Amino acid sequence: MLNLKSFRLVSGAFLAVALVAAPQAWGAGFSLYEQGARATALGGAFVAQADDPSAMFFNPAGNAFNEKLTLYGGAFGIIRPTADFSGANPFPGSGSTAAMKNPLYWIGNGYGVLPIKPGSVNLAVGFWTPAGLGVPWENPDQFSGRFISQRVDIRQVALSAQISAKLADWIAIGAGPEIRISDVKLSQNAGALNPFNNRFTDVGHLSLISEGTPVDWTWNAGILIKPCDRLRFGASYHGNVKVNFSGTATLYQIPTGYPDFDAAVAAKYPMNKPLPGSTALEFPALLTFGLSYDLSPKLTLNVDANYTWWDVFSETTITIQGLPTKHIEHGWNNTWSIRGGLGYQASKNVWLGVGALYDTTPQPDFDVGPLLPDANRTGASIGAGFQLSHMFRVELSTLFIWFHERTTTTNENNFNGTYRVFAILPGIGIKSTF
Amino acid sequence: MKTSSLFRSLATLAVAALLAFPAAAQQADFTTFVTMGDSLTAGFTDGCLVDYAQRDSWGAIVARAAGATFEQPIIKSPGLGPCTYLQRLLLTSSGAVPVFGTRPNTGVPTNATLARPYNNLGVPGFTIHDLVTKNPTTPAGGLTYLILRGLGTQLQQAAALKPTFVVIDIGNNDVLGAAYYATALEGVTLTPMASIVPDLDQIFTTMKAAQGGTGKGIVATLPDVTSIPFVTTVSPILGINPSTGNPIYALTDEDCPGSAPVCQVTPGSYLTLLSSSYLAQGYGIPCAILSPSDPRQANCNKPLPGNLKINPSTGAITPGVVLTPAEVEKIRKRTAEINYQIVTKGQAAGYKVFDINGFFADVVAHGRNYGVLQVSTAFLTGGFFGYDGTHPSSLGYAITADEIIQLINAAYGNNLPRPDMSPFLFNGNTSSGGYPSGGALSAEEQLLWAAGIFHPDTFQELVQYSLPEVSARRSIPGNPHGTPVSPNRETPRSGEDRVN
Repeated sequence: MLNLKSFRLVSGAFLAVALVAAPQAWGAGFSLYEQGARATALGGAFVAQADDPSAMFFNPAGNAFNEKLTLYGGAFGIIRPTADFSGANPFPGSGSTAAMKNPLYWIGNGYGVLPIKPGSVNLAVGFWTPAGLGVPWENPDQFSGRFISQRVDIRQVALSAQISAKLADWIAIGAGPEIRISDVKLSQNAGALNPFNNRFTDVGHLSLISEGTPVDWTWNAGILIKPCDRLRFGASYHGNVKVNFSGTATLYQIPTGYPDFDAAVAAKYPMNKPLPGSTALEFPALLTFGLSYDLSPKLTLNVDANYTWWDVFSETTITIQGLPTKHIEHGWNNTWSIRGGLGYQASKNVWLGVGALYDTTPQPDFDVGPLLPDANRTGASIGAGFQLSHMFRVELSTLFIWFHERTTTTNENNFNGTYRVFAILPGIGIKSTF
Repeated sequence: MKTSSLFRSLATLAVAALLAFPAAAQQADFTTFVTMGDSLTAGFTDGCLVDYAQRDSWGAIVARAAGATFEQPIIKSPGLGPCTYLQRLLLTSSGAVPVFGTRPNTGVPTNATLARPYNNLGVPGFTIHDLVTKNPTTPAGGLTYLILRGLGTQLQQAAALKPTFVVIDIGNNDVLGAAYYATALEGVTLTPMASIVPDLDQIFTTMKAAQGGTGKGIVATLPDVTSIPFVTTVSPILGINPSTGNPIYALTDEDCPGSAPVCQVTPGSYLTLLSSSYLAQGYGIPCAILSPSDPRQANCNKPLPGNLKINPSTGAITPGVVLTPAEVEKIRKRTAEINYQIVTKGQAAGYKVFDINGFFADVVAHGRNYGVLQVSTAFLTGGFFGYDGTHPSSLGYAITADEIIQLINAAYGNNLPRPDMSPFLFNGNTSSGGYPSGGALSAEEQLLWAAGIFHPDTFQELVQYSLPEVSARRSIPGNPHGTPVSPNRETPRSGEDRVN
């Protein structure tokens, strides 16, 4: 029997495999919506189509129609040609510029569908990455927002087992429990006024790393309706999860060159030793509904809408022993996003797809800052699927996301300026049917 | 295009231009920008007038935003005052003990030959009456002469410049003396309203006339000078009685019941920064709370001087150090009376009002947050005030200037850029090389200056480990002012030689 320690090790491994780190969430806020290459090629509009194993995320009911053991594995790379910030007066000032680091990130997913009653009742098991956040700033010790955040990483992977059932030829449902495994890392500098030279100075570096892999439960469900041959309606739901993180924080002292000042700082704060810390993050519920319509035998139109209950992300409290408790107000709003895609069966073995999306940000201006600079975004996607054999199919997609330039004037910490981000997410998926 | 259509278009444009003209004409014109006032206007900090601080006087920062010419009576470093600096910060069981030093008092003017009045006419120490009357004509006039240079009173020189925009910030020294001397005496440390009202009338009438019959500019109210670090830093509570749980207050000779020579200070009293040197020697401390070997036993149970004292033979004044609630009330009442006159008379003359009183109260209550770096009015650790505990630092002046700029933009429809606070936060000022660090003191000087003046929790918020925190978003700054603090100075300057 898997004991708790082993389970945590396994779940931690899943986390590492699924999500090396998302540089920034690619659904609004810090949700992720890229869970399958075929769906992504269609702009993510897939809830009423859901005809590959990634249906576990997009609509669990879709797997009810599966007739064979099917495995699916995929990954997305994340490249950010542009991810920068220009400051404004009074702070950090019009001369302040910064960029986010841009290593190659990737996120992964994997699904398996096992027919229990082929074409009617199926068991699906899989994992995906419903949320993630990574905002690492270049030159972190010079970045003007370093006292707010130098780097934040939130990783989360979902594990699920679902039962899907075709109730009739025109309707199917699916549902299952969903385990979320998460971790978080934060780092920033601490500043204080040096009374010897009247300058705010870096006096410490704070690093907070969650320990273990918090495991929390929620559920998912979906329904797929085919009122006629050419038209399908779908809806799916993923529940919200509140994750309690605990871990270790360390405040490393940074010498200032003023021994008296350093001594005063060291006398006041627990420097250079591990301190128990904790925080909690609540991840929102997601409702998706949409339609899929065959414009012709080869051409299909998908249109989806997402509604995300971001209002659960209203406040974060961070407690570190020996340091003042921090309450961070977020005040996020529930959001809509719209997705559309066209799929074209170009030949027996070649499928083409294009898509677009518009995703509204849940983040109010006052919360937009170095920790998480979110914005409305417009996306465009292309993709193709190739049936290599009766067993293997490969799908490729690329999603381009333009974060709308966002200029803040009311940041709660008076850290204002303009954020610009453009990203490219190439994706691949391989499906094996047995 | 047909000719008639062209004419119609031109006529439309002309009408539109005429309609737009009044709005454009209301914008503040910085062709000739003048600032009037006292030490706060002069850019005084750390007990001195010195170039690196003057270059960031609030007037200079506003002028840079407006692209205006702004000549100032720059005093070359090391300044005149003398300038105070922090030499050591000694950690003791009772808290951090600052050790201050002073720089050589040898600054010289660098802009003394300017053939016209300065744009910044602020004179340290000036009261409202001084602005109207003082005009020293010889170097014996000290700083006042260096700034006014015998060219007329401050009011006369400001009027002579015919400013297109003026900011007037005067009156602080009409109440500050009461806080500095911890003694509220009408006609001595508080200027009577009977003197203030006609002087304000003269100021506004003169400036309005010099500006073409309507005041163009801003007039500032006075802050609550009992909220400055000079007043609020030293705690009157010396400890807690372990048997009763009641606070143990410092001892004073002021307002004692009956004819008792010594009593505890009234709850709610403030001890000024000048009390620190007394406390360091044991004055004001009950002997019972000191160990038998404590050297302060030599003076324990002796009172802190509550009110100022005048030596009858020399005329030298020794400030009191205990500001009682009744004295605080008198200072605040007079401040409110002066502010009422400033607002009503200033507005009647056409000036917009910068409510420094409200602004400074907000800074005291909430500070300012720049990227979670929290600027406050706390002495030494807050950043808003300089070492004298009375005058803002360059950062404090910049925050004040930011407030004034926003007021100008809102009231006059200008679009002046707000200042970049980064140089002030991370460099101490905008000068190359930034704010200068202190120098060395002899051991003897250290003993003279050392004083345990802090609340035990003064450094409570020293480190702003800054996981982003929700803090109130405020508008802007104001400030207090007064006389530079020298814990060992018993006799402050007087008359024209006084710098504040």
